[in-house]
Amino acid sequence: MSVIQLNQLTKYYGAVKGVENLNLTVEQGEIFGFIGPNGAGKSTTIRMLMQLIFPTAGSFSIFGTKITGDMPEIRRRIGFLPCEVNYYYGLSGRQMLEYSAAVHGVRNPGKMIESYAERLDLNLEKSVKSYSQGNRKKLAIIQSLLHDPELLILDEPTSGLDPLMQTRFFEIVKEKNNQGMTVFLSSHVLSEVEKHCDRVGFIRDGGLIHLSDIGDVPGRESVFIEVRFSEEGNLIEKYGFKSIDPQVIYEKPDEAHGAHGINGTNGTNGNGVHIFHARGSLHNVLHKISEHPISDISVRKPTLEEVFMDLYEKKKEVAQ
Amino acid sequence: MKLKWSILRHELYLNRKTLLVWVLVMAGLMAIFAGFAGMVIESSEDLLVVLKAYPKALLDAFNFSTMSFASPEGWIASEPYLFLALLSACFAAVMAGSTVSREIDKKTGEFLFALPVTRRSIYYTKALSHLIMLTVVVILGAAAAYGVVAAGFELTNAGGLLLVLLSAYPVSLAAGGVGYLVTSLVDSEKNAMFIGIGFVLVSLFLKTMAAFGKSLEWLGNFSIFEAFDSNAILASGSLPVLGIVILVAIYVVGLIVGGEILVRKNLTM
Repeated sequence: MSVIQLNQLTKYYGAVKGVENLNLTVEQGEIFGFIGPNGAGKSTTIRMLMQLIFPTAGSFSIFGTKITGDMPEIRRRIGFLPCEVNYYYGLSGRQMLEYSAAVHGVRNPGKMIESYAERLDLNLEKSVKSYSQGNRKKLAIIQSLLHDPELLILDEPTSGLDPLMQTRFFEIVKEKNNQGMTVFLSSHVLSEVEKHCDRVGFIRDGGLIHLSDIGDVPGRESVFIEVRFSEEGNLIEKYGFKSIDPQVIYEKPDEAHGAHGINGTNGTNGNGVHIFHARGSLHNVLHKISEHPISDISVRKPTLEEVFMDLYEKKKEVAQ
Repeated sequence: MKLKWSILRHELYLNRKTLLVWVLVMAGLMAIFAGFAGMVIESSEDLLVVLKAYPKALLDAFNFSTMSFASPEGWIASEPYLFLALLSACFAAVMAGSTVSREIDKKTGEFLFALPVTRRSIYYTKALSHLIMLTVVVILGAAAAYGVVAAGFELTNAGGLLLVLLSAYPVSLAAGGVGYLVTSLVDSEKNAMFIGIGFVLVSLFLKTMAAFGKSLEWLGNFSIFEAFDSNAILASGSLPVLGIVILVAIYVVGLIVGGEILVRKNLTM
């Protein structure tokens, strides 16, 4: 069953485009990643799902029900974690959660609140006003889960959380997902989408540019080959590496620390790294590279970030 | 549309300090005003001479008449009544104006309006909390004035005095109606507050201007403070029905229109 279905969903703020003609489906029980740069239309889409703003054109359904205006019975089944968390300053963390639980009709939420607070290491007795951004985020995470929603909508969920808390947060999300909860995860942190999502939709300038299973993202079958040759210097012209990969780059020793799969410059006689993006036959590329003495080599799959940037650039070129 | 008790409790809790401050200010001010009653009545002859030195418009603006110094009821019906109506109207306008604008301004609306409650329910529940607070402010302000004069004097027109004091309530309701009208239209709490207080002050200004001469009397038709003549209420012992109807109608229309704007509004925070 589709939990979310967008049909030609469009939102304009006056003359300014928010999103245009979005079509996508999120199935029950999946973790769906919604990726895009800032201002791409992710939050606009989420605000429409939460019925905070209304579409200019098109339509959407949640749990098979077409959303027409203000439908609290649908929101009751959704947990929502906004990008920017703002709560009432006059309340403590516990009061805030008890208030939310009461409105959702959750009886005796105390134990659940304690359990989540312990896992996320959150002091609930402090006032919301005194919370750091990270603590507010933790509070919002608990608030979004207290009523045991069927659908969890997350807008940049890990911003403000330290790496340990990010891990704990995704542990909780995975647990809930295993119990059947559907997750709609909007993020520009591609690594977390890559790690946790089943399917992914790329959005740019208000339009969906790609939608697929995480493993079927175009370009992910390609590989990056990082090579440190025994011979020093930039060898691209000398050995005609452009014929292997027109976009091959050479990172000088002082830049090569950031190379992904290859060690830094220690013990490399100050040599740099050549980075090839092999989109075709890996065998042919490796064959040509191996014609020259190699001191170190790394072959790796591209990250989602690299794939996204590749897709992004290609679509931009087409548009121009 | 169902009112949500948990939201009502929350609103009353969040605004408890505001309510306390307003009650203290209102009750304190009214008690001080009422405390002057003895001195005013003792000096009534001198004060009437002073009164003649001021233009009629100014005296009307502050509700002064020859009855103002004749009895404790007359004194309360003058300037103290005007301040009760003015302050409670400001309170109502500010609270009503903040209903939606504060949620947008402080960005708490993203939490509040994502709750499983209709926007109408949230809005009318918040309005109910304001009504409760306004009632407390007006009743305690009126009670302070009434209590102080009743403790010091044997009142001859206690019923009339109570009606005068309670007539501040529909006046403040009307100011609240204007607050509700603008609350969904502006995204800044400050702007909503300035519009609400501005409306009350302009209303007082129009009442003052209307007293400057026959040719300006029509301006009074646009002032909520012209709905009731406190001295006439004191004399007749009754409230004019038309005034009540007009003021309550402003409140109801403002409330409903504000709610309908909210239901259709894109909540971008």
